[in-house]
Amino acid sequence: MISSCGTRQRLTRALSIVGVAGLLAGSTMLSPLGVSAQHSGWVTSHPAAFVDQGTVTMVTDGSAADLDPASEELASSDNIDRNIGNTLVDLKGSSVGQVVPSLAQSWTITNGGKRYIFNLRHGVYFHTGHLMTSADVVYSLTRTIKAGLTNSYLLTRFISNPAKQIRAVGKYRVEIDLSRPQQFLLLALADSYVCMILDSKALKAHAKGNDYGHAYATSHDLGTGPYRIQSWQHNQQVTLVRFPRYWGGWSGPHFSKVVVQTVPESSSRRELLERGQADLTFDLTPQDYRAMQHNSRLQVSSPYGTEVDYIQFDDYGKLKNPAARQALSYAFDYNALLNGVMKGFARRATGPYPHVLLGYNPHGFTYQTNLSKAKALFARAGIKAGATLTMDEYPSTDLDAAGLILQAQLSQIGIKLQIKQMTEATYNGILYGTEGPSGRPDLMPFGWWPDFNDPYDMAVPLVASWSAGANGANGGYYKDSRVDSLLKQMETARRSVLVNDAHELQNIVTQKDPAALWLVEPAQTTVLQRKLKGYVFNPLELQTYNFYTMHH
Amino acid sequence: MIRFVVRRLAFLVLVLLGISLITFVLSHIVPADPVRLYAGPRATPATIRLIRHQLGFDQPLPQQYLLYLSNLLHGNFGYSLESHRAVSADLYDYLPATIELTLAAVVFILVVGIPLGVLSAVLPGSIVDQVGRVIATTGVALPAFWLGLMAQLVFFDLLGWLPAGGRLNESANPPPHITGLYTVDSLVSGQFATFGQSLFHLLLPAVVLGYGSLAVLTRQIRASMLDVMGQDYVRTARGKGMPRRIIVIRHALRNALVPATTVMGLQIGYLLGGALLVEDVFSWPGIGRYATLATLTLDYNAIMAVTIVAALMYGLVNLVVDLLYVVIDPRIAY
Amino acid sequence: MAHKMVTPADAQIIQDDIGLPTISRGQRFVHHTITQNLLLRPVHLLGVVIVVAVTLLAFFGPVIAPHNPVIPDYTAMLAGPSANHLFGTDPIGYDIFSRILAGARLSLGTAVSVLAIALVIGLPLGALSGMAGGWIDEVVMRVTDMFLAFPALILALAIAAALGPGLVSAAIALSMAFWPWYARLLRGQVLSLKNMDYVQAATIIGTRPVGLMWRHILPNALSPIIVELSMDVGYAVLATASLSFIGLGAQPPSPEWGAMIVAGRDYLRTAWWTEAFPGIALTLTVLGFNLTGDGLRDALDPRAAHIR
Repeated sequence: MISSCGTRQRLTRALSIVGVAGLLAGSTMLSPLGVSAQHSGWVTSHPAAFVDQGTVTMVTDGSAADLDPASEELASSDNIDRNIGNTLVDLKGSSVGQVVPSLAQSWTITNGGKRYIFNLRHGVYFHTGHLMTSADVVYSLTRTIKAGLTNSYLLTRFISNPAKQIRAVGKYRVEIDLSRPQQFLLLALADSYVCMILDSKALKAHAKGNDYGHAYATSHDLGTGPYRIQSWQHNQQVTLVRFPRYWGGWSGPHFSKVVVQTVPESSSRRELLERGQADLTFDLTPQDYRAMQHNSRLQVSSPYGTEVDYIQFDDYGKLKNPAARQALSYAFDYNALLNGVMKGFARRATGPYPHVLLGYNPHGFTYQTNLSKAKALFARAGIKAGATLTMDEYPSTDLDAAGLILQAQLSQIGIKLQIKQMTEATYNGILYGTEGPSGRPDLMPFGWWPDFNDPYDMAVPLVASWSAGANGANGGYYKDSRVDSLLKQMETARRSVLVNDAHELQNIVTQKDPAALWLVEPAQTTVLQRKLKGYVFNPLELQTYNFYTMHH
Repeated sequence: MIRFVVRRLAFLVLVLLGISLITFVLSHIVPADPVRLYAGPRATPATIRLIRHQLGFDQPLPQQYLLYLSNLLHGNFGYSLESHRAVSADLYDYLPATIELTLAAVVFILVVGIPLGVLSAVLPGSIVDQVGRVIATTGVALPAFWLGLMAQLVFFDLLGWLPAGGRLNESANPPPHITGLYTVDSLVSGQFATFGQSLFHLLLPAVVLGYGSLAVLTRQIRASMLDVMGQDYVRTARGKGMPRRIIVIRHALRNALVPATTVMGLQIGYLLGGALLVEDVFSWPGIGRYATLATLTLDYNAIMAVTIVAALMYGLVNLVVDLLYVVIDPRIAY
Repeated sequence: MAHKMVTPADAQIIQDDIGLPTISRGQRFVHHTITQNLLLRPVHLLGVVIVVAVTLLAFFGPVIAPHNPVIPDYTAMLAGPSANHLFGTDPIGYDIFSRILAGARLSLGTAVSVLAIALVIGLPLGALSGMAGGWIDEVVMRVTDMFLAFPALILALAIAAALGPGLVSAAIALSMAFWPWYARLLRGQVLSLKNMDYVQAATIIGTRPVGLMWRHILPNALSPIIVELSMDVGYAVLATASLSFIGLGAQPPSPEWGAMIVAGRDYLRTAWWTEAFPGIALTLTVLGFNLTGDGLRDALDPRAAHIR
């Protein structure tokens, strides 16, 4: 049942596009960048009048749950946060590496790349009515770290002592001091969900015990974004209306109302789109996309993001020997998944790095399905016909199909794959659980995308030995000493070294000592009414939509 | 009479206690740590310890149960791991939807079932009787969830007559929350378009949910009617030349309603269970769907709450049903 | 009950138990005798035919299936009904016809396990309650009341969620919903048979309660239990499928019918056959057991014969 589980772990969120990231080497970004196109309303000397576009309706199978950026982990919650909140800086359009001002109007990086100074925009109001000042920025970032909830990891990589390292200098200036130069801080701060700036007065007023306002922030709109929450029927519908005092202004055509409706049945969502009763949806079946491509009133947008889907190996027991893991990689029928199941709405993944990510190696090693080779490698690893492997999985379009494909392939060489299906919650409980490698299934499918355009950020949770078990998403307790040392180097490496290291890492975790059966990069397909304009896809901001830029 | 009610209420309390104990025990064999689920992946150990303490999960089990009970008495079902809200707040949102759907199904069952049952008994072998038999036979065999899917396929996908799910159209605003029943709230606040819309959305799920119980009620009424009409006093009345219509209504139907009421009371339990499936199919945001989602996310506070609330509703409905006997049949007294 | 419909006969069980006055039944409209054969009425015959067919499938289904039910055909995913794939294929490429044939074993097997557990719990408790009377009776009956006092599918949901999804936990969960009916049924039978002359006589000559139960009461209480069982097999199949449908029963790739309906759910529009055929199989099976149960009741339990 895809329907109830279509909401994806925020953890599996990734990052994006090639290239431009090189610009980011800290000190090169001294000048305040210009104001981006989507915020032009603010600076245009002759603001055009607001042209009310009425209501835009999105139908989706997920429902927003927790809105607190410090803890929320569902794309469906991100989708609301992205429209009601802002971050200090934004990713520019569909770029994964270029940032533009948002709540910070400009910034400078000094002290050899260790000090970031943000000059905040004046006259920005929260939906609560309070004026945004440096105190809000300091508190928002600090509490995310201190609350120690799901998302704190994103900032703790940069900031270990927030009380000392994040400072307000005057009403509209914030300084962040790092212990060493960090080229990715700006990109992290552009994470439009985790680093959203909230109203600190409201958070403090509603704090309970040591929760930094978490319980309150979970269900209250404390942002500065273009839309504010008008009503929220849990698991049903969220209605956003335009916030007239939005700092970006309302000149030009914008929707005044956004309705995000939960419609779990993918066939119902398709029907609503086809009848023009909804403007936008995603997470349909590949068959639906195929059929809808022929509908002249609809557009099917299928760009590639940064998500990689894979089946993790348990680095223990039967699969301890790399030959066994290579054998599995040879046994899999990639074409069946790409063409049969995904109908072309996916492309081969050749390792942990998606095409658009910094560090992707287009010439990396790629397995070709070869059962006899698989059989020989299994034999070398001591796995004979009649052996049984185990796999846990949860419902999803491609991952459970992949399990079944593997099962069928293996049965042809006499190996039995025992699949246990479970709910996504149970599965996550096992993957992120404290159970050691001996108590885990041999194979664990999952999907992942990075937080920002950094091969280190993408790989650490998956293959670093210190991310094993409950400490990350390395559910198979993968441990390769070379990979570990590469990662340690990558954490602080300059770009050229970083890319080389990433290539080597990709080769190890794919070919030499496979960490997973790397399956596909699924296309990030959205179906929209053709008349709906202004949709901008960013490969890092998956399954969320910025309605402010949209119009008819 | 009062004694009867008091005794029944006391038993209901006992039932609820038992159920709370069963679900409490069950919640502790769930193969996942609720604190970890609540804190989310990657939460730091310190945070997990803190939350465990805040939620009282570091206390001995009997104490946790007592805490749970005392919270229950205050209407506090704990926090939902999924919505991160108080479960009572969730129930406030979801419960009315289920009540509305169940009531609509009951109305459908009674409005169709009683005439159908009576007519099939009065006119055995007629078209009505045949239709009644088909419903009675298929009704108990058709899986509600499958019937729902097929109904969607026909009435939404193929014919386009009825909506596929939800309580209102996409992008429609719900009426102000008075009772939480959209039909009632929209009428009370004079939003007639919304009223029409919510009726329209109720139609398919209510019929699908009620179809099985309709079969049972029709069977029961027909059988009891035949039974009563064969009895001596009815035959005597007929012999005396009393009009058939009067006999049917005054004697037969009245007597047939007693077992029919029992069946209806028991069917409420079936309808509440069936709501799990029908709400899932029709994206109906009621406690059934809430419970289904809760089981998929191992949100055990929510599951416990739904179980207890469902038991409470079922118990109260059946108490009312028992009291109804007195109204229907003056010979019954407690 | 879970998906067990509360039938008029069940209502009677409850009505008898709570001592509600029932209307005297008088003369029956349609006259049946015990000697009347189950197979004489065409609907009942249909029921028996379906039950026999499904039972045969449970034994031989996997053998006669034209395709392996758990090996997909990648070249034909979501293929419509054809000569090769009689009922089409599902999103993975499984042959739906073969899976329906193979699924009979799972559906029926689970239902039988559910009822076996229900009998093992329910019958001893019912016998104990009826034979012992007094406070034991009171306690046992209040416990069954408790289990009957709330929607069984919701109870099953709570249990299945705790035990983790799967057919085994589904079977355990559902048996919790079925056993109280058997406890009550047997208790009622014991109470009425206890006062029969021949049982009284056996008591006088010193037969022990267990012997009394085995030799005199159980054989005579068998018919209503069999009637109830034959109906409940269908309801248990339905309840299992329902749990699978909400994700707590059979897990893919197992070809349980409810799980098959879930698997095709997103393809309702694009591939109706993924939904239609498993549902028809399910409906027919439940119908078959239901009609057979009706027929058995007519043949064995004349008191309820006119209710249909």
